[in-house]
Amino acid sequence: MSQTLRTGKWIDRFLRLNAWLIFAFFYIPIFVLVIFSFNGSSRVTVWGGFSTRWYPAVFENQQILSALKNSLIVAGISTVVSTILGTSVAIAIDRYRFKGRKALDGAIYLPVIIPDVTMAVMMLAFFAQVFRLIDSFGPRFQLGIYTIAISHIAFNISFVAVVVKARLGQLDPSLEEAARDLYASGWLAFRRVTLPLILPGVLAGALLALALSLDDVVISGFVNGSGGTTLPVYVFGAIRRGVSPELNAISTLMLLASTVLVLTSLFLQRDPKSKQP
Amino acid sequence: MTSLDHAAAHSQARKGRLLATPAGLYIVLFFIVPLLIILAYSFATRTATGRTELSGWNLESYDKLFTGLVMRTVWRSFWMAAVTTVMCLIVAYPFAYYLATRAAKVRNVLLVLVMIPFWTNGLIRIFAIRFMLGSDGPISQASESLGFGEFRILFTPTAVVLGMLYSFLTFMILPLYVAIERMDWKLVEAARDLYADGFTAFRKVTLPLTKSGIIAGSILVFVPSFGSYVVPEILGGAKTLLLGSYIARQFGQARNFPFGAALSVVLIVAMLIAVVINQRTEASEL
Amino acid sequence: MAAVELEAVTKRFDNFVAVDNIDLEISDGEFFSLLGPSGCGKTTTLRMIAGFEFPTAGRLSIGGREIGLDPPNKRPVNTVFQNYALFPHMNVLENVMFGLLMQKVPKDQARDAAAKAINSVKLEALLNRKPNQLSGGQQQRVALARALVNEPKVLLLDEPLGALDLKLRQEMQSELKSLHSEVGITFVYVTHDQEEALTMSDRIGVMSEGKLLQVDDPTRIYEHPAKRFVADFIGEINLIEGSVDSSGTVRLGDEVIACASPAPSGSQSVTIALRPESIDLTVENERIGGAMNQIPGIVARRTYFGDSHSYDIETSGGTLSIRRDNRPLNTIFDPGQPVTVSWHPDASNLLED
Repeated sequence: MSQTLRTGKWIDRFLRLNAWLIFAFFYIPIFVLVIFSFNGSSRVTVWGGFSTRWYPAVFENQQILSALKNSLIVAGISTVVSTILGTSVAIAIDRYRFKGRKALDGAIYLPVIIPDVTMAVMMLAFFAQVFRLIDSFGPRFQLGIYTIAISHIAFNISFVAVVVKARLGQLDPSLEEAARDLYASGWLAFRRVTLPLILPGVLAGALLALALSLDDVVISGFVNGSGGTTLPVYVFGAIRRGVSPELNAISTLMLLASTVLVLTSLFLQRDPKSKQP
Repeated sequence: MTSLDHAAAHSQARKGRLLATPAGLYIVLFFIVPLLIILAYSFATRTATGRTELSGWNLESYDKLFTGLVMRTVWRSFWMAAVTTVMCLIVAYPFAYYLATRAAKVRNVLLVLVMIPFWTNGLIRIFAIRFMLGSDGPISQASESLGFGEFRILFTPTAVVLGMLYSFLTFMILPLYVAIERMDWKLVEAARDLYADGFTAFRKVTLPLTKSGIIAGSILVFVPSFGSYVVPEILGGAKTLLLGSYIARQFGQARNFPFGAALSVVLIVAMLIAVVINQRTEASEL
Repeated sequence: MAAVELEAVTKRFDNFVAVDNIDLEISDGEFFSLLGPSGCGKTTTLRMIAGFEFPTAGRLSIGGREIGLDPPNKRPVNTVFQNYALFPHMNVLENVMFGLLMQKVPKDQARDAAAKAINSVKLEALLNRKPNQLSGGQQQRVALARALVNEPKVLLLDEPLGALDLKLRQEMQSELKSLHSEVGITFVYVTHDQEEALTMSDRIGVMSEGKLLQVDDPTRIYEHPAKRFVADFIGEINLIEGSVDSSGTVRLGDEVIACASPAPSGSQSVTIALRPESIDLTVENERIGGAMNQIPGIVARRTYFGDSHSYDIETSGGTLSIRRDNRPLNTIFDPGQPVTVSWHPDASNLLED
């Protein structure tokens, strides 16, 4: 494949310049933020020498620690539940023909594309309505981390299903037939052949769910009630109060965590065919 | 007597339903029902105390959509989402083209570099922009020390569009990349062979063949921009009230759920139109 | 006893009839091929025997037992898939052991049996390789070993050589044939390649548009096709329209000709099938003895094929294509030259549509 036939010399230069500008646009703000998290000065934007003093402060802040704990609980629950439900619905849609399959296939994409705010107010109204209904029977419920988890599962199922479906789409359906042909029951064929082969997709879906759950600020902010503050909700509040060196430190830590997640996920989603012995 | 294949299809359908039911029920209960509740709220009554009564159905909330402030807010949101989408398209297309025409090894590295910011915490990325653009931020300091004076862009519409560009650019890059990458380059060569110059070949062959990527990317940028909340909250000022924040306000301080619900219906309709357009183009490509 | 028996089997997908009322008996130990163009229903037939599809109507028995709704894992058949369908996450040994382990054969025994099967396809050096580290031909052999190690009653092969290049394909053809006589298992072989079917099979069933048109041994399929489609699909052939008079005499143009079978009574026209290589060509008026059909013609075109020449000869009954080997003493005819065309009555088959 010759590059010259596709693009002329000047066009190629323009394309390269554009690419470098985009990468700069992507990365410079992040790098600057990270650098300034090691700023010794308490005036955020004035460089006062290298220091790691803001990091211990993060871990001494009780509000941050409790928000982190909430985030991890919500992310853990929503990841596990949505991975199981999302994977099974992806298999159902990909491998079986049943009534309502098309409708389900369409509906599954809606939580992916719906704007955060819409989903957030939907869930808020939903819980308000459900609580009103339950309250009339006696028990009183309140918003909390479990309402966040319920909402996160609602959109994460879709993301997991989309990722797993993509993986199933790459899988030769005759592999499962071959297993059945070689005396494996339906369950064993799934267990020994299909599952190991889609596992990277399932794990990638789970990581995406985890990342999205840890990322979400809008929906969590609406359905958290009191005491259900997650880390992004805390950070969002702090940003609105203004920048602070401590905020830079938390941000850097969160960046680090999500970068680890991405790299793991990308590693898992590599095309199985390109894997070298 | 039912035939064997009917019986087999029947048992297949049963297994499929069994697998699909938990997730299906979950999505119906915790997504479709909330969607319907919002729809119902938009026709409901707000009492003097701010409670929502699911009775006395009316169109008041929809009437309010046509008042000046609301129209201006919806128009501003639409316009800024449109600008964001067009800008994303203008920079992402050459970028995706560049990616797709690199050798496989280089391409994979570049793709990872694209994916990292995409997956990193969105809030933090917007905070990074906020930090950069601040009146005493790095850009402003640099500009002052060079004698250009303070850099005032934060809390303006420009900052919001920049933030949305930063947040959603990858949504444009990825579908475009996929579309360009899977295109058959022989078709471009055929066009060149048939006396088209480089630009004509691009306009007559490459562009139409990557239409699905352009549409998918535009939808993925436009819909979240139109309803964006975090970006204008952090980067926008009082003069850049957008639909997302306006909806949030109705469910917050204003406590006018029916009106907030009617505003949300605007977003939901926009989303559904986008989904239909996307399905149409996908279907027409098969 | 029949290894596989299909009675009035029909398979419909929505409104499309994939297999249309087929009756077929495949005997024990036979090498049976289903031959036809893509979309003719041959693969669907195979998939019904394997248990991946179920008939809409009719009965299907394996080894004398009706199998009804038995799932694939309960059927004494194994399949070699078109793209091999080797499990990419297992090595060669694990692939071949899979079926035995699923049948609860103890691990040691399964390992021994698998190793033996791998030996028999000459892959003992590659036990620990993953499928993506094997060539197409090697993958093919693993697929064979993986199926045969289970000693099925019937081995189903779905275009197993389709992905291989010509040379390897010919090699595998003879290997498959000798493997078949070694193991004595019934082979049901699906292919669209007529040469493959002719060289390997004991019997061939030719399919088109869901219908089974003719079941016969390769010689009869080639030399005495019963239907127009069979004649046309297999090899090159002249299909010419002849007329029949009330006494049953067949004419090609003005010439009376003798055929392998009598014309069906009451018909006024028949399709006559003639293989290009079964027709002889001599100079004009040079009569040959015996009960040969002889008609005059004129050379319209000559094409060189290296080992042979092909001629288009115009006769009063239409244009005939004729194939003549290039031997040292064979006359070469020139376009425009008047000639005599002759063939044995047995070579002219009357076809049903």
